[in-house]
Amino acid sequence: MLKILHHYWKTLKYKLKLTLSAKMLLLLLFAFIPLLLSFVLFIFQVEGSLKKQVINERFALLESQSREITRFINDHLEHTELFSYMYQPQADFLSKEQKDQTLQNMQNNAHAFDNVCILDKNDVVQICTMYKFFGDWRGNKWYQEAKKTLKPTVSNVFLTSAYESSLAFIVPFSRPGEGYSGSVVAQIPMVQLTNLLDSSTMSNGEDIFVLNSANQIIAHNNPELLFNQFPYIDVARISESREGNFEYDDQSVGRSLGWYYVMEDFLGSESSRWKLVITQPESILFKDIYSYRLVMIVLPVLVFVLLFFIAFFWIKSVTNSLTQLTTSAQTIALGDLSIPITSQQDDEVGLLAKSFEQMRVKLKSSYIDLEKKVKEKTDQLSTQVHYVADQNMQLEDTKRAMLNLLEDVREQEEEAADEKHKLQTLLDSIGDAVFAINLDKEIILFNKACEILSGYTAKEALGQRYNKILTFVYEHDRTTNTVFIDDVLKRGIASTMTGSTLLLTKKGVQVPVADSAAPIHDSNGEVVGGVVVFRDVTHDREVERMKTEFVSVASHQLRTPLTSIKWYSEMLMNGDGGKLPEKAKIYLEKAIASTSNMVDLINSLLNVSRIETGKISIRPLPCNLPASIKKLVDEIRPLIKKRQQKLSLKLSNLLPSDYPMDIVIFREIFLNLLSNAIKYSPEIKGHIQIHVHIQKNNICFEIRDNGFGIPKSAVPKLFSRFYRAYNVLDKDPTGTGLGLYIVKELVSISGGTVSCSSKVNEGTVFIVKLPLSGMKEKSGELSPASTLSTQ
Amino acid sequence: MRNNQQQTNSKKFLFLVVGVSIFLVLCFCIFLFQQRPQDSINSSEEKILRIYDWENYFSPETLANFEKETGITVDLTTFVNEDEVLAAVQSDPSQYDLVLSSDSNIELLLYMKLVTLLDRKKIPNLKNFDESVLAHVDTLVGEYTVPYLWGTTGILVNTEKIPDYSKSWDLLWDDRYSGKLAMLDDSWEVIGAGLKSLHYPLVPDNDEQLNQAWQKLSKQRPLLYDYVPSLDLEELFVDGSVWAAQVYNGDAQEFIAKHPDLHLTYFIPDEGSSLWIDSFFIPIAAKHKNNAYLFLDYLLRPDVGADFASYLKYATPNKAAKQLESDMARLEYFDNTKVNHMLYNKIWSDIRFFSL
Repeated sequence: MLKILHHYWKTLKYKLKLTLSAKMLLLLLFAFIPLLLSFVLFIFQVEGSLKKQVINERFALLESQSREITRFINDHLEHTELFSYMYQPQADFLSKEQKDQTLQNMQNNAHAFDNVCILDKNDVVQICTMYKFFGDWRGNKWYQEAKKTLKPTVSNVFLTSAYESSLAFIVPFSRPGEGYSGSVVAQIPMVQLTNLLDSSTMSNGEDIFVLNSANQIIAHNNPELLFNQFPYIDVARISESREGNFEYDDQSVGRSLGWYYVMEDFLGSESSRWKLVITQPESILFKDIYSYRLVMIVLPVLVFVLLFFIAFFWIKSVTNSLTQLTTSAQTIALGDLSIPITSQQDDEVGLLAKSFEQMRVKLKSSYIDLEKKVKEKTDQLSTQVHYVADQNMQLEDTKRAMLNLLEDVREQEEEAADEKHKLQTLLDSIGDAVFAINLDKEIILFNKACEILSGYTAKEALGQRYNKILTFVYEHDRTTNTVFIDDVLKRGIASTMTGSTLLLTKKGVQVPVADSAAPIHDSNGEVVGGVVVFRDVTHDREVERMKTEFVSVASHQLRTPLTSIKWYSEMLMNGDGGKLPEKAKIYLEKAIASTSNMVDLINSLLNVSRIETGKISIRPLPCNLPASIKKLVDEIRPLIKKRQQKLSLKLSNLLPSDYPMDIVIFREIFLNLLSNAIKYSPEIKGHIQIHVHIQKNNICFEIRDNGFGIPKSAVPKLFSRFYRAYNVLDKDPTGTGLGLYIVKELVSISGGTVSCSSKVNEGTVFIVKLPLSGMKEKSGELSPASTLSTQ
Repeated sequence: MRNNQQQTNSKKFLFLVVGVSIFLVLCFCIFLFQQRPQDSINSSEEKILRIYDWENYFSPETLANFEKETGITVDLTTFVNEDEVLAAVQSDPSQYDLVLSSDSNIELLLYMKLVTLLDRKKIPNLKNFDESVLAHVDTLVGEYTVPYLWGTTGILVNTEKIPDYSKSWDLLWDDRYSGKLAMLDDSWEVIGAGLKSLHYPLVPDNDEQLNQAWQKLSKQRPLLYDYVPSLDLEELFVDGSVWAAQVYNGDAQEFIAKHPDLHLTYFIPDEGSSLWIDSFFIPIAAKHKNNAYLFLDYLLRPDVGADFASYLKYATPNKAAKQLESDMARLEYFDNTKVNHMLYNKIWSDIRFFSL
């Protein structure tokens, strides 16, 4: 065996003829490679433990999210229990009035719940706000369990439509001596939970999934994934370890790696054995480590390369002197004896060089005589050459004079270019995008910000017609908008476009921009072109959206405890906690009134945020219009009585009995206007007139009062947020200035109009016009929250 | 001589390299093989099959023979109306392994992503089944469901007590027989009957038709004995509490055969009525899916099919097409995915609550 290897080594040696330096470098490589390898291994080990640490940190996020979910569920279960205290019927049979009264009350207090039902002891639904469920509650496992144990139970999550899932809270109640006598079932849309989870994270590419015991997705911000299996890997693998990675297709990057971390069974109840899974792209999760990795790898490699080069030059210096010697010997051999052989080295190579030098000197002296003769002949030739050279000199002088003239011209050109350069720098340092066009609409200037925003370089843009490069479109219908620039050229006046223009970039991305254009005049005042300035408003819009979302989440969080305070106070007031002294009752009444105001305010804010995020939904159903109006008026009568005002109602006979409208929206609009009329009319003398009639293709609702009126200057601002006319600020200190804004938005979403005319101290009339064909349908997630507690 | 030596040496070296690489490849294969997940989860399934079915919907032999053949214990739970199936599967898709329901109901469950896509390889007997018979009405067949029985809903009358009846739904609105009339305890059938009695389609075109049916059903409410599960009607006809009732055709045939002395007659009203296919499906989270496949394959065996169809008076889908030919024009299928559920729920809880 050894013999064979030895043989092969020999043949290899013959075949590879290596130079001295190559051999030395090879030796060096063999010494360095193990060193480098062990270093890289070490780096990976350090990286591994760092990654573990990062993942452990992520579990803190998981825990906080799971606490959030637990709190969400507990809050709503408590809420449902409150419902059961408030609304459990005292008898098996309720009169129709009692049922209607309870239903009205339930609808006003349903808040976040999208369905609240009361079931009797025979499992029949007696009262229900939305009837949003499938099948017979008798078949529902969790309902049966609640009935058996008489304990509040949380159901599993189920779909109520293709993209909507719900969670039900079942609170059974019993009357003394009767055993089980019914249940309150409240359903909460899971989108509420998703919003809660989304709003707190998502900053680092995290994606949150809640899975049920069958590993289906029950909460995720993409409703299309609802009830699908977890998309990235087999969930059986998830249960094996609490974290791990998976491959997935990223649309922009392609195949990439992601990480997941899981928390299982954190709720501890059998119905909801949920898993909370958070995923995150690896590139973001380990961003810091990877940037660190670059330093860790590049640094040793650099050191290695440096060492390699030092060694290389050192070896080269030794081999070089040898090579030099060899070349000198070769020159001498060829007959050139003029170059001395030098060597600074004192080593063996140096000695060799010195003896070569002695040999060269002797050879050289014998050649010198021969050279002398040759030189004489050459001198004669050179005198002739001198004459020709003089002639050449004269020609050269003439040429120089010409060149000086040209130089002056160039200096002037440079000065002009300097000016242009300064202007360009100035424009480039502006944060806004600027471009200028001439009368032929060709781009003559295109600054840096413009390049960044549009994706085109100045080179590509200059000289092109601007509409070939920059496409501005209207946001609402995506048609091209060139009018505002053409106007500048045609009419010579500046114009601006805000809030509704998008720029199509080279990559086809649509960027919202705010832009303005102005004409360029020459010294005679003629328009010679235009300059357009625009800037990216994506960030501004993002800030606006985040603000609205913040309001929405904050109000949700505020509303739940407030409602609890209100209900518990009302229960105290009703004597559920024992008899109260008179004084305590007065204080409690004030507390309840303030809480109601607060709830109204929060509901108003919520409505504003729902309107602004476009989440409001309108579901028109045929309604008996006269009956609905009468019902709403009855609702507000107690307030009129209290203020000793007069109310007259005039309804046209032609009003339809099957008018398609969303009763919740209608109530919000109608009661808001009506309660304004009442509040801003004097006590005793106040007279409110309601007149509903048909006018052309509209139903016209007139609400007239003889109150304080609205100053003329205030009318145009009346429907904007938080605006309150100055003459009524002291009349009702609890007003929020949101009511009319909400009314206007709701009316216009429904396809109608609202207008107002008023005279100070004579009265005001509000006219709402809704299309005779019915309210416009609009899909959204939520109905408006009720802002008018009429108790 | 030396050349020869060199050749043998290089040959030996070649053998050595090949040998070592084969050894390494083998090691790698063994390593890979051990890494592969074992596909043995299915074989470890418990010998239990939990079926959710209508009451009295299997011949006793069907289940007993299956238990004997396979050693699997069948745990049968029954329901009395279709709405229970919806709620049961929705509230825990893992509690049953095999569920029977009407196709329109299963379509709704499929829409809620609760139905397993069948693995046809595990039901070889599907070849015995003529899928083309159903293909035009039932898009789920063979993919998500295995059809079991076909039937209709109509009226059962005691002709001794009511000799002069017309073949119309109005019989169940006749105030001369107040208190002696009954409807099924099933929202789809009751509201369906309301719609048909007004000559509207079984799947209403709009809410207006539903609202009219609601008004009509509210008028019927005081005349009724109660809303009764189909099988409970037998006793009520025998003791004379009920003279005419809405009923499923299979149950009606059974009562007529059992009690010839009562002069019972079954008919499908002239206005039309409902037609349904009851099929089996496997819920998405079922725990014993393999046992469920075994059972489905067993049901599709020709000898077993004949067995249960003769016990129950319903038709197997293969035969039904012929039997129902004459009535076909008046019959319609439900489509639970195309109705306003909230209004259905509202109507049903309204009329049922007041009937108590």
